[in-house]
Amino acid sequence: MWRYLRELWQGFWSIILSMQITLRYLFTRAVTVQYPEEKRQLPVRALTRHVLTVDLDSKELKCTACDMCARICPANCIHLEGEGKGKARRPKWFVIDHNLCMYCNLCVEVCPFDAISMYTGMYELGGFSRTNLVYDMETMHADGFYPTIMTPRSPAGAGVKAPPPAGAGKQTRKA
Amino acid sequence: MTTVNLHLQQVKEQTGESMEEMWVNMGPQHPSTHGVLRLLIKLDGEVVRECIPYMGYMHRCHEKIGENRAYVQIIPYTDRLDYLASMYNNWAYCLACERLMGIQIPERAEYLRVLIGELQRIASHLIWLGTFGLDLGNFTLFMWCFREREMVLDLFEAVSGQRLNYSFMRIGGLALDVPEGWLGDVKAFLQWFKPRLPEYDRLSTDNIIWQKRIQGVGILKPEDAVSYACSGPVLRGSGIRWDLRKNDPYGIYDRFEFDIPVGTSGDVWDRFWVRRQEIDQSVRIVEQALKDIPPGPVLAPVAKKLRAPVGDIYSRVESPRGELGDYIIADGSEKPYRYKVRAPTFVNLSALPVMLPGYLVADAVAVLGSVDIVLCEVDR
Repeated sequence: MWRYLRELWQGFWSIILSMQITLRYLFTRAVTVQYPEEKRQLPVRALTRHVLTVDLDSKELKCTACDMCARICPANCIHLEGEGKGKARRPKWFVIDHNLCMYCNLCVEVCPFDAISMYTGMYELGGFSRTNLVYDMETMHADGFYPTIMTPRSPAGAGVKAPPPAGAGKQTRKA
Repeated sequence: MTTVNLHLQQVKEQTGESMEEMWVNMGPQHPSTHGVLRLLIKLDGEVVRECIPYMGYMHRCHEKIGENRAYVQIIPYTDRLDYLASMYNNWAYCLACERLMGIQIPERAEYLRVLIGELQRIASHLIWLGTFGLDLGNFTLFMWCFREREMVLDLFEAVSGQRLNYSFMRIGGLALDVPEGWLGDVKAFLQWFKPRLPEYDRLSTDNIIWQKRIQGVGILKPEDAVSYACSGPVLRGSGIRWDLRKNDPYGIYDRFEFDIPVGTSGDVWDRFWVRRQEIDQSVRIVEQALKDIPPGPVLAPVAKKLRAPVGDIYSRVESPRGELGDYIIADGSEKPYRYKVRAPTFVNLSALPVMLPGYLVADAVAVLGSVDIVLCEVDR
């Protein structure tokens, strides 16, 4: 009888001790973010949708269709074809299938010309069909500066401020 | 007749058990199996008499895919094994390749690997503690553990750009150096995190209801644990002092001071307590690594097209769930001839038929939770 009552009291007391902490957290700020209305500030290195970077002066693609990214891709999601010879070689078409992409950043690391970047902040990639996630060259054509691994000011991507808010697509990062 | 019923009938014919005992499926869709796992349990009233775990629902041919990829290309696939501790999968694979190819990785990369690995261990144990609390009805613990885990994920996101499947380690070091000020962020996280540990204790360890629920349940004897080749906290909970970081030091773990917590009786409480103390030890290791991390490069000069010399290698690391080993046979080409993963949770889960019999059905959830399974790693 007494043992039963004692255990009852012990259980009750344990709950009171736990509830003390819980009550204290009732008056602190919430750590969650109300997503569609407010968005997190992503770190610079957040791997998101690909962008084909451009030369900032001539607005031309840096890509020379060397096929390195397509060959390193473990998921075989990059397809391209080049035209022209030597320095004039440029991609005729360039397609990345984001249904298959694993966001491993290998294509960016292997690119010798700094021509592709995943540090874009465009992460809202929802679509109504699978073809909506297959991006072609026009969609991925960058409209401004995007940081890459090889960005001269910061070899490790550190210290670079977030890219300009106007993205290449509709999705933009909260400045 | 469905396959399950057919199987039940076969089992009945073979064993010829009495009518009072009943075979019951727990899973494949069950909220506390942490994935797609089917446990076939023989019940005598409320008491579990026998248990057969069925695995393989999430088999993805991981090893076969590995045979068709170059050495570098396998790294993103290893993330998908144990998705709660991806850094360890990367580490185990890269370590195996480095030993196979004889690559010496830079000092800073070694320190960063230890630092990131122990942060990953904290995150993994936190999610385990949270979901274990959820299994036992302690919902508050779940929320709080996820809050701190989220901070670790934020740290990893700043480093690698991903929150779950990092693919951050490369053969020969790390993909990138950490960003400026990141080490300060880790210090700030530890300052926030250390006062939270007593709060978890007050919610779980000191709670008499929690103690009575899991003490003396699901006992795994030391000799059973060894003969089933268990590893990690399941083995240490049974009282065997075996930790690859001390017993077979890889990387630079021989430079750090930490203890190996071990249990005494091998019940669910011991496995819980071992993991809870390992969080403390990981915090200790991170603090030591932060203190003497040297500057320098993080990636050894390696060829762009990696070819391994003919030979084979088995190399293992101590992941949060136990001994995670990679076995690679190389035939001199760009791709491994054979690639095998020794998954700790697969082996630990195989010991479930020894732990469950004799306890109530309600305890089966607690025992299964204490093994800390990740089904993607079990099935591969």
